[in-house]
Amino acid sequence: MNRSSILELLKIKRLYFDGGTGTVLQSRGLCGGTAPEIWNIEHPNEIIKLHNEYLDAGCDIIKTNTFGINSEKYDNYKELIIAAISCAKKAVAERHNKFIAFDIGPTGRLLCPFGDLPFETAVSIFSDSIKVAAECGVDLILIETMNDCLETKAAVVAAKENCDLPIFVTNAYDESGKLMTGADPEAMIAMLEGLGVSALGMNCSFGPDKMLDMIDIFVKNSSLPIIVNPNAGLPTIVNGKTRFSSDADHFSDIMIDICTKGGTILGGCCGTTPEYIRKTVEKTRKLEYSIPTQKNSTVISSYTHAVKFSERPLLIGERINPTGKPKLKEALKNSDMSYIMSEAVSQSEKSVHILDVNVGLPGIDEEVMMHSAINAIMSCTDIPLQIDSSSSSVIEKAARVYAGKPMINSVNGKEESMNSVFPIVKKYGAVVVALTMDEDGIPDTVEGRVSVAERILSRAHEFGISSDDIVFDPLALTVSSGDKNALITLGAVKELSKRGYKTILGVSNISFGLPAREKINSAFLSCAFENGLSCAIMNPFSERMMDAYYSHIVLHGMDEACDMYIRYANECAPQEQTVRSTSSDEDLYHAVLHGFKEKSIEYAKKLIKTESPLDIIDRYIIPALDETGKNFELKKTFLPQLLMCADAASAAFEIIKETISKSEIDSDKKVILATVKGDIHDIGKNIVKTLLESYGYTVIDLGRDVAESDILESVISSGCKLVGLSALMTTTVPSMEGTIKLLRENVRDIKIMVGGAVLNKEYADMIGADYYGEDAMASVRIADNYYKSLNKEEKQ
Amino acid sequence: MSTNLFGRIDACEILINDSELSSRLYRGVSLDEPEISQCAKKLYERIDCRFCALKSEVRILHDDNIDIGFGSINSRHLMKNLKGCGEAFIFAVTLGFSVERYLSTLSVSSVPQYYITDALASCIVEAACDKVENILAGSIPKSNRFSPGYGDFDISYQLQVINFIRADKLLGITLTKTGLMLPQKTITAVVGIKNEQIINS
Repeated sequence: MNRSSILELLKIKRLYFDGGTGTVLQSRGLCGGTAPEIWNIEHPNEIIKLHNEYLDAGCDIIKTNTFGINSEKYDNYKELIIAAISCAKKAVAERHNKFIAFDIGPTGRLLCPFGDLPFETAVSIFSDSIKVAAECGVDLILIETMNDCLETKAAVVAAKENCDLPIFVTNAYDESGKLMTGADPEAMIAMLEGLGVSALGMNCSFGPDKMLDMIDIFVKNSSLPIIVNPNAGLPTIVNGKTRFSSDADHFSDIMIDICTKGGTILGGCCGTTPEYIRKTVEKTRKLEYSIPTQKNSTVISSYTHAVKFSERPLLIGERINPTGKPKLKEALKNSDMSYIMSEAVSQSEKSVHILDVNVGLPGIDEEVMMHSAINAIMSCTDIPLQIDSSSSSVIEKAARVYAGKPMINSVNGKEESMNSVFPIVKKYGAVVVALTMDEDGIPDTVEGRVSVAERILSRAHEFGISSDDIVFDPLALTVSSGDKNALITLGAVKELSKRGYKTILGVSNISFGLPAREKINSAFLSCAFENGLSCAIMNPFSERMMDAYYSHIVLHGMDEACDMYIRYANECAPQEQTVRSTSSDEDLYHAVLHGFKEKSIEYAKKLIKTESPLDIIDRYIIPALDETGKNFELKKTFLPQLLMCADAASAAFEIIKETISKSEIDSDKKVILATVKGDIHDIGKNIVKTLLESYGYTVIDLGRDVAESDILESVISSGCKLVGLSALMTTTVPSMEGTIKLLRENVRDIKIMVGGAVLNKEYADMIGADYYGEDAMASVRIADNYYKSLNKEEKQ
Repeated sequence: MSTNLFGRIDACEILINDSELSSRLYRGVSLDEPEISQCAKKLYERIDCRFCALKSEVRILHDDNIDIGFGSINSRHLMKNLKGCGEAFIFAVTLGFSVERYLSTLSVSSVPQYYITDALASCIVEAACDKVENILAGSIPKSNRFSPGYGDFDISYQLQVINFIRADKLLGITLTKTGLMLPQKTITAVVGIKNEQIINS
């Protein structure tokens, strides 16, 4: 029998999904606690019967009874999937234009960086199921009820890599209108459209009333058909039985409104029955049908929200780039993700819209580093990221695991570049920065750069990439090497903007080689905005640059009621330090002692002009730390005060370090810290790290949930033989024991200290640790004694 | 009689006191102290407290085994806790993912604030449990709440508890391989209803 493709049908008519499966089967004898998918094998006739009831009610697409099946949960997942598809096929046989959707639900685990399921493992789990389904023959893949952005992406990537079938995605938004892990519909639409799904929408969670409230957001932002599969309201127990708050009449009445507002594919979820679908079909079949219009917007997204390019320019924080940044270089060499994370957080506090992430440094594995950096940054800020690398393999690795629709920096007009980068942009969905240079170099005219831009655009179209997903960088070359350079760049920005294209510049390049660079950078930024620049890669800690930005938006009517400018101006006003003590002793010692971070920085800056760095450390910082540490051990001072003191000391230390040569600080005093595999608590580790750093130790922080082999690798590569391990759960202490065993087998003279709420001295001895840290200060004492005895041995 | 399976609690209704916080911070504190109140204010802005629950029959099986609705649990301590109870409420309550994300950000931006906020969040989720108990059971005689991981009620039962009350679907709760719930500020618990109350109701 000839069948139209489902995508062809969607262009001309509304389609309908079926309704709930588990709740219906429960009413037909499925015991509470038994998975519905088991009936594919034990009661296939019941499954076929239910499919037929939905098809008779008028639905066009039935979902296979495979929601909870995956290779992690079931050893016999193949058998269950084959049985489910067989049931579905029997139901649609002899029916015209009826379709089978292979139903994929969540794994039940949360992906890294917040959970413990690696992205690739999730892709693998989904791939296992999809391969079976594709082989059996279904009409589309339905990824549903996902409440996490990244897990949704893993499932879509698995579908794209294992079949050519249309992919439909519906997510479970909660009552706040977001996914459990925070993504709003705009973020999901941006990511899913970028990934090339065929339809998207929402299912489960609540009844049609709430979905009616949300449909406008989808209609406003989506260019794809919108799926709406609500529950039959919220579940309650009445006399021991589950009831849902919305009956079939109420449900289908609201679906009329959803239809009118723009819902293109309708169905049901938990609590709905064939009756719900029948009434919905009856009441909406004849209503006017249209598919969403193309939105033509340039948008990127993060884990939680989307950032749309508009009239108001965007700011991209540039500080995660090792060029000219010795501390970042050091952090990259030591795989110190916490430094990178702190740079990300501090820039986000400056209200940048996007963060550039560049970890290219000779001697490190950039692919691994970028992967780690992206994950680490996603865990501490939800600002969209720009993946910045000259290596297409690095870009691919990062774009793959990124939760959202990233910006990619960059591609250029060289054939090799376009051939390697455009496929990545197409596969993962990204906005790409296109540099207006090619095999002949950088054109030295406006026309030349615009011509390269048009050629890049033309090639992008050949890869199926829309103009909306390209942002042109006409390249800011320093005026110190060509006095017309700024004019050419600005002219190119103007012309490209006139043609309706988006533009970007690395602003500070304009002043390379000149003194007082900020003066030129800020003026150039203003000029570029005047010529239509869409976004600027810049340093958000430059007050002049931020002044230029906020002044531009307020003067050009892009800042309603001058709200953003006023907030910015107020933030710039000097802040009063909260004074907790009435002490009149105002010096660095007291500032550190009382935990006054800003004051500590202020006094350190003053003292460095008149005293030697080592004197400052020995006379002010260390004594204050020692005093607080002693009081902590005597229980006169408690952990929050100790931490604030340590924070203030670290801040002062940073000022000293800027003026001191590396050889003057004992930079060999290192400690490796990690929370062991399986444990994602890091509060204890972070407290220990803060204290150690305040005492001048270099801490190599490997993070949480760290594999034994990664800890070993860090010991070998850094040469540091003092390791601190933390575990907060009894279930992860065996992992600690395993780590200790591996280190002892492979590293001579390794010393291991352990700590965590579940440990005591006895247990620490039992698992082979050298030291047990019963509280935060203990780690400092252990490290001090270790390095003292090491120095003594070296002298002997 | 009907029982709400799902609900939301306004953050402002979840109150904690100085002594609860002091015990977590291992020092006497007041919620009025500037650092504490600042941390509390920022935390409360991010709380999205939701719960789900089920009322189930309690059946004593053989040999320290008890069934609270999803099969046999081997736990003498749970049995002891539910002694005299013919039914129990099984519930989960979470402060939501925004709190999780906020704590993650604080862990790199300010360890002192991280430490204080983490302690506050732990107090608040316990207080939320008290509220949920009140919503579900009111003032009827009941047992102390008991969670997987207490005594010999092994943490490996956590997955069954979550699936039974549909906390995965209703609240988005997931489990790591080592049995840790996410978001971390989440509690599951069993509260028994004393038998004489069932006879009287």
